[in-house]
Amino acid sequence: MSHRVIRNLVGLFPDFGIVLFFSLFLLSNVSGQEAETSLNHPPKPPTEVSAVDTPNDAGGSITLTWTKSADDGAGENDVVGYEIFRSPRGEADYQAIATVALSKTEYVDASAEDGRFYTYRVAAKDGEFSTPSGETLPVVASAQWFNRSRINMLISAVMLSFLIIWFIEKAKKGKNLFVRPLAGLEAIEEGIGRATEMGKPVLYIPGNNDMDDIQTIASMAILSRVARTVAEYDTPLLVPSKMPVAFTMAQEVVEQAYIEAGRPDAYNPDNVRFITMAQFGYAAAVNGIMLRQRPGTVFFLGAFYAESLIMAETGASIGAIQIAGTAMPSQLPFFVVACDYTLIGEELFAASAYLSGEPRLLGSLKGQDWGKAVIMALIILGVLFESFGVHFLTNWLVSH
Amino acid sequence: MRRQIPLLITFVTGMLMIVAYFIPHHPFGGLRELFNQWAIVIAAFALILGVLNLIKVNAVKIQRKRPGWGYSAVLLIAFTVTTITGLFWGMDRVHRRARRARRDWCW
Repeated sequence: MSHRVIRNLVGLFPDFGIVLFFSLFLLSNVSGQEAETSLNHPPKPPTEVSAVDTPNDAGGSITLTWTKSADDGAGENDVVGYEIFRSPRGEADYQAIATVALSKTEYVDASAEDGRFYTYRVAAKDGEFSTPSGETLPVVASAQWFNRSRINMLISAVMLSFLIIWFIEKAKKGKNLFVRPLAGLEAIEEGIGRATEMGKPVLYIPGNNDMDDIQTIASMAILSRVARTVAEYDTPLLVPSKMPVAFTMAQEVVEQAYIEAGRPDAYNPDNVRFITMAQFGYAAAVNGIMLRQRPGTVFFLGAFYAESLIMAETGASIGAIQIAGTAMPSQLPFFVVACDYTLIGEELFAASAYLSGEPRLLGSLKGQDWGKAVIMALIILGVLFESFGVHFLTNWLVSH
Repeated sequence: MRRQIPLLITFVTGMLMIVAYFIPHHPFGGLRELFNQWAIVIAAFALILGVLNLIKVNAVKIQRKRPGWGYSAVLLIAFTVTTITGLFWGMDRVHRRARRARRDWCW
């Protein structure tokens, strides 16, 4: 249609231009859509689809793996995800059980029944089409009696147990097992003695975590020793607790220590008290106790977080002797600057053996130390082997 | 027996945990989860003991007018108000309101 004809038609019918414009627009759009549709092909299916019983599990699980569709990240690059289909053996119909995102090549079917055979298909989906892969071989889910990925842990546990028992036997026979002097632990008696002379109480903070933390367990072992000494000196011992289970444990430990010291009458159950599970509420309460009751000695032994410096600074401001110990690397610098003595990391765990001198605890400590030495030797060997291109040790440790 | 029975329970539980670590098969595989659930129940009871201890220590302090008994009174009043609002209006509502106010960091 020539411009002149269009101009004449527009002149005759003023609305014609608008009608013509929209007609052309719609025509071009429809033809564009047709062109797009005609270009979209079904995506290529994923390949090498395999299904295996998930290893080292309690059953009820099958793991599927596949190679991505050629149109996932390449080709037409229009795959939007994969659909997992499952069919119990003997049934023809496949049912969709899950959809996974594009680029994924693994899916764990945790809804399988043990002892029942299944076959699977994985379909690649674009916005329009879905192309299923071929069928996998039948697979059955089952539980395993041994987790083979933990063989190295079993060997380590057996080795460590052997070392511990061997050193305990040596200690029982009277062999002197050397533990280097730990200044923080040597200062416990001195701290309690000072509080006694000043007629002030001893404050013991067992940390922020509950009894599922090894640091709190170590702290309770030291609390037992501190409580026994405090009972002998007849000095009040205050133990504010943040966690409820640690609180009940602290009550038991302190009461038992007073009984063992022959001073059950001196035990005041109200001195071991629950405060709150809120971190900074607890810190505020401890600071309040410090400022009101002015303890002569403060122990911070256990796991600590951001409240460590708030409490240790308050303790320093009232002039108390402060003995801290934690295995939290981020809090150690604060304790080092604000406290008189600090037990660093492993020293906290060695404390109960060091303080009691019991053969069982000392033997256990020595056994663990040798276990750690073996692990360190393995790390050095691993680094050397890897540096010279020998990978068997690393591979074995990673795969077992 | 006061020492032996807890030691025996601890030993048996520890051994079961070790066995469960290496054997995924039923009944060992689910033991860890089961014990974790028990631990949650025990912790809940321990929390009740803790709260009772908190009330007792502070109530005695107020009753005997020990130094600083006013703090204990404030604590018990705040505790009662928090418990009542929590019981009647629930924590979900409090958290929703906090989120609306964009003050999630408070919790």
